[in-house]
Amino acid sequence: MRKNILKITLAVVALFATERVMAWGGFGHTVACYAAEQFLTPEAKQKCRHYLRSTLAYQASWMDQYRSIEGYTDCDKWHSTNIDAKYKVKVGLPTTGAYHIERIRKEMMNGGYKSMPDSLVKINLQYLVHMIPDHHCPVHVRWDKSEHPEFHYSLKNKGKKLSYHGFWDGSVARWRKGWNAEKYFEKMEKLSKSQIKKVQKGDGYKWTQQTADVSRYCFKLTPEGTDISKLSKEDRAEIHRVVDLQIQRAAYRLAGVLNEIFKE
Amino acid sequence: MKKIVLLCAALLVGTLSAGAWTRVVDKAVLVVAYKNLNPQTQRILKSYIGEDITKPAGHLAWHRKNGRMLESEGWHRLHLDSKLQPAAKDENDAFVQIEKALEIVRNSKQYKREEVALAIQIVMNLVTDMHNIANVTLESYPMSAADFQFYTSKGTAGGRKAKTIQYSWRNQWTFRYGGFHSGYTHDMYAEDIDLMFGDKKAEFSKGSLRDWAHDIGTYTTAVYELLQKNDNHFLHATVQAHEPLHMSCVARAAYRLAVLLNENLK
Repeated sequence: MRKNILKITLAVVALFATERVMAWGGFGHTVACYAAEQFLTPEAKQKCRHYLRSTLAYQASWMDQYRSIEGYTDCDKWHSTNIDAKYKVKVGLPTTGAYHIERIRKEMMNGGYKSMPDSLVKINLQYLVHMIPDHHCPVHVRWDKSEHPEFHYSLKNKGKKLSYHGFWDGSVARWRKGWNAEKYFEKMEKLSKSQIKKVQKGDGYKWTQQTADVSRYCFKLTPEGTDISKLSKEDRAEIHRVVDLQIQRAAYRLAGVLNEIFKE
Repeated sequence: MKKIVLLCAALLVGTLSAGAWTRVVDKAVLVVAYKNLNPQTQRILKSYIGEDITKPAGHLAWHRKNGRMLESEGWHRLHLDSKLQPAAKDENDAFVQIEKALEIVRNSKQYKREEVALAIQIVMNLVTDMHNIANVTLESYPMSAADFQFYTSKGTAGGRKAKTIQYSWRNQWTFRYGGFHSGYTHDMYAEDIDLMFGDKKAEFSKGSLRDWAHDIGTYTTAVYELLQKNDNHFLHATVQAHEPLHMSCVARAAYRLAVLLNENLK
């Protein structure tokens, strides 16, 4: 009996643990999309709901859940984008997410979505709601190991090895026990019209370039050997400041792209 | 080791479920049901259960946790015969207990207020419970009588190579889909239920409690047929493909609960 309880408990824990390993963590994706939906025009919100038959937040992690399913495996590399030896985003590579953010955006804009079957509009929206937040996650720019060996290391948690990627992926929810998307949004700093315009300027490549710069700063924040259980209150606050800023950018930009696509 | 197991179990039971699905999903059912009550029923309901209409979620489990109503342990199961008709052998059955509770609600004047309040909460809990696939016992599939292990995939979400593991059928239908939506509140979940199935409200609400039991049996049978055909495997792609079914079970529970309350709570 005890053995059975142990088996079941560990299986549940293991399954949950693995299903939460995704960019920004499921929580980060949910909050980015929940916030983005609050910034949609009524027109864009109605159109998104018409095609998705759900909120944006419900689709937030869809691309993570489907990336290993036959028929969707080509998109496995779209969750991040390569950076070159000179710290610049590689432009025009179909194996990168930034390329597909721009491709889908251009195909759907200026009424382009109207000539697409509903199923294609739906899947394009599912890609955008995931890829735009993904490309604001500091570990979703790919640093080639041969060009940037300095960016390939692990962290520690209470002395035990912790994946650098895993740490930053889960950083939105970390140290925020009991938070949900509504609470996060309530606390999120809201921007003025002029600030929004400034944030939304650019395209998938420029935003990814900014994330690459943020990513380099994150390596300074948590250098090799950092034990996250020993981070000071100030370090934790700085980590939250950085990731919250990235979520905020992702939310406003995702909303901007969708508002632009569904502008009449 | 014992401490770790107890801690994990407490975390899972405490935060994820005290009812049919996760706490968030169970509460979402009540939110959607409440929105579909007529104003008079809404008012009467609140007079019995208070302002927080999500409070009854997991109410029976809460009672049991506090050493009361221990007899309700087996009430969440729905027993169906080979023709998918309710076929309880004793009182440990959702259909039987819902009918008993509705009798009290209908004849509320003959009972004490607290008895009526409890009956309402039993209806709210068990209508939700009977829509969870893992709570349905099918005569045609004896394996459905209790929890069992099946084969599923692990490690797929992060793009890693999938591994096949054994997993609890109960946890599959109770926790797994709710777990896909981290950070969700019950109001967010309720909104999605309506967006996905609002146009099916009339279809789901049609019929009687007996008809609904048959409907639950129909889709549960389809799931067991598939599981058996695939040699007890329900891998990642199948799990994903069944999320709409899970959501439709949640929606069915919500709209049907509203019908029962509108019809009986007067």
